[in-house]
Amino acid sequence: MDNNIYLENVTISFTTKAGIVQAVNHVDMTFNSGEITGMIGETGSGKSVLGMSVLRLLAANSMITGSIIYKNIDLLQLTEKELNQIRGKIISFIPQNPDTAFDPTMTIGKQIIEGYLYHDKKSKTAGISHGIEQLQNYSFHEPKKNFNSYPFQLSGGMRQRALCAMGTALSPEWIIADEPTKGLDAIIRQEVSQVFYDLKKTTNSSIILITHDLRLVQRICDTVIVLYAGTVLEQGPAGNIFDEPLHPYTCGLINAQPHKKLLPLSGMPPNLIYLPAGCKFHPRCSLRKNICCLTEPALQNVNGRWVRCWKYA
Amino acid sequence: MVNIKQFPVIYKIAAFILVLMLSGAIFAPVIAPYDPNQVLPDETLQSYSGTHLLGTDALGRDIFSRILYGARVSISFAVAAALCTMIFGVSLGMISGYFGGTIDTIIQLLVNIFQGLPGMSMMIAIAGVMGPSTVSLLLAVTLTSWSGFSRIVRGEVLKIREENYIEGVRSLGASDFYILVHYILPNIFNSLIILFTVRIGTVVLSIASLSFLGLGMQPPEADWGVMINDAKIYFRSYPNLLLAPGLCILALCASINLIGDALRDLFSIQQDINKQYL
Amino acid sequence: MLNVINITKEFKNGLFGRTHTLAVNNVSFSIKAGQTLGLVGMSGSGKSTLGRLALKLIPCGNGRIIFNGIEISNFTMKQMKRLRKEMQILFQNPESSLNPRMTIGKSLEEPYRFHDIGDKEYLDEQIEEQLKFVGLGTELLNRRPHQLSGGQLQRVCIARLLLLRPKLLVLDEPTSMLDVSVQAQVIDVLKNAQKKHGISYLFISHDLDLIKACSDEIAVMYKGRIIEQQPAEDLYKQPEEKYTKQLLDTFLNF
Repeated sequence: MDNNIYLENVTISFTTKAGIVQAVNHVDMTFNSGEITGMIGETGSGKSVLGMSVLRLLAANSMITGSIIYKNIDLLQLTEKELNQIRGKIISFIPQNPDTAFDPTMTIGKQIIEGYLYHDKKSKTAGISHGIEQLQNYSFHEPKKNFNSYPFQLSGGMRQRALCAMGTALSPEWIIADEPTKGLDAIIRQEVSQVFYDLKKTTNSSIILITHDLRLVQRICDTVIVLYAGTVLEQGPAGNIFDEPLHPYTCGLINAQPHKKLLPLSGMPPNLIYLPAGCKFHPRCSLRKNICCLTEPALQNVNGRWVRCWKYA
Repeated sequence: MVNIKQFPVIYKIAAFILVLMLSGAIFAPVIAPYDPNQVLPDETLQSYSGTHLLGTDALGRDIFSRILYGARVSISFAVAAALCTMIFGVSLGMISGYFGGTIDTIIQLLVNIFQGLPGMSMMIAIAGVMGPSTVSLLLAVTLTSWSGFSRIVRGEVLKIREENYIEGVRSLGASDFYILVHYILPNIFNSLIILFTVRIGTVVLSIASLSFLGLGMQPPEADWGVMINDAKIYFRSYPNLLLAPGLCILALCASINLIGDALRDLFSIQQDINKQYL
Repeated sequence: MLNVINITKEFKNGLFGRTHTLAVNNVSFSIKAGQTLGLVGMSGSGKSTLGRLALKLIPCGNGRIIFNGIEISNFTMKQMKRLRKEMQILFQNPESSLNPRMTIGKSLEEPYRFHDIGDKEYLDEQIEEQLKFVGLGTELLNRRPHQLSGGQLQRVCIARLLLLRPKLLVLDEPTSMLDVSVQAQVIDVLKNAQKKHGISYLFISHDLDLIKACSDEIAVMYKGRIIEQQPAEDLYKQPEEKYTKQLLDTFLNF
């Protein structure tokens, strides 16, 4: 029995006053254990929603169909009580935005070991020493002092690292990190990427990295999944994808980066309530043909990668 | 734009009750079966009957008619008083919060002084000195409650003062007055609605209390507070004297507060996906 | 176009203003007409404060600012009002840059209202033209900010600024909240605007790659001082300061 997470035909939609928002559409994916998998996509591509759905952390008006299988158990069929045993301990989620992810009225230390005390039922002293050890692992220079500090007393980069410490306090088997470098400046980004890289090396955790920071993904991820409007467009080993992107969208994303050509992609991401027919990217694709507007292509295996494009069918 | 049908039932009930009370007040001369001040010595302290829907009071006055005419006095005064307090409190709060510095310090000093004064005693003092009249009551209510208002408004202004859009429009060349009217005021509007509606409720109760003490509307004016005052001697044996005006005050306060909630939801621009009815 | 000489800004916080933070320490720089000066620094380096000081959005006691040949260091707010047309700022967070209670149309009309330019027809014409220039359509005019995406909002803000035909724009991390593809779109618009109208830019960012792709000259800021200023190409090939080398390392080896 492996530790992979399998998503089978997962569809997630939200009911809103404006209509039904189709955030994720019939996605099949495998997250391989022992690797760092990067899920990249723009805002609205469904990557955060997908990440949160593994632990069923979505809002009340969401509807999920399909299965998410881990160690032969469908996570979507578990009860809240059973799920709570998994959250934090076996699969852990590091949310976005360290500025608002912490409770401003509790010390960092207390929040970091909260899950630890809940799951492992250890004594408070054991918890505190574990917490301080965690902070040390994340290159905090004064772990005891920082343990007793409040979130506002730490800098942005320190908060992000503390958030990671919180997520890994129980040495979970899987870590899902949602946009860990968003809004952070370059030096802190480097620190954070080092944190994840070390995590993979020193612990047995597998990591799912949700981000639109392509450089982060290029640096530390093993596998990359490109999402667009809730659909997988390309998936494969990171090195291959960045050296030789196949899907026009992936090419566009890579070329839009400042250190590449800074070329904008024409048009805008589609309205998730009224998705276009055929290939979801076709309105913006410079290579589109008639068939692209009519039928959505299936994922094709091209040179060890999966691409959803009529160009390779 | 807005689907009224999908509003929660309780807001609709509140609106219905309010409309009922307002129509009662407006059409009092038409609906009321008796003159509210007409004394009928033979029909004192009667219970519900065909001729007197809600019975009569100690002087034989028809309670139903008094309720209707009382609605006019209570509602109009409450709205007027709340408006005065709002205008005073909101302007000072906005100026204090927006400009800061010395103006803020001075206004806050005033706020602290006024907030420290005991409300009820102040009202009694003013009503006592100026004699109980509508003007003195208005003054009393405004002077005792503007400071609380002003403080809350100032807090709201401080919250949005540093937002980018204020800085942006200022760098485009907007005057302070323009910013106050078009930028600050609309963005604290949500809180203002709630404050206003809660204030109306409080004013109704304050006036009722003052009338209870004999300092509010003077008899024979048919104000609900006065009616409660009149009822205090008899209500143990004749609870209907108290029930009618009491329930009316309760209904007015509750429905206005609920309408305030509904209005705030209506004008809120928060894209709350859980708000199914908007 | 802009000459800033020996500016220092200190912030006083705490009880009786006891804590002094030196945000900007004796900084001087200049921007030529139609060119872009990139100001790069990490959080806390004082770059945003410097941008606002240059436009006199924050009052500054000492130092000199010369804009388009005019010495504005001692100008009062009233005197500045006339010049406001020519020097503007674009903010980092497009979602909080516009009045949430006003429609886009009303927000776009504001620059003309404040400076009393032209009549309604001229206004509408200009708004339509600028919207087209930034790649948006007039169907947005009746919507409110929360109904638009980050990229669209930022372009609306740019359109609003362009209505006044400014000569200098301070761009305070204009794309750091945007996705990489949307960022490219917005930068495209900014470059077109500079080409068409000859606007000078002070481009503030922490993304060295982005600054290199957009600037003619780059100034590196660290703890309130500009430690190095060179033409963009030269900075990359021959960085002088140790901090600059460290920064370049972060980007190149990332």
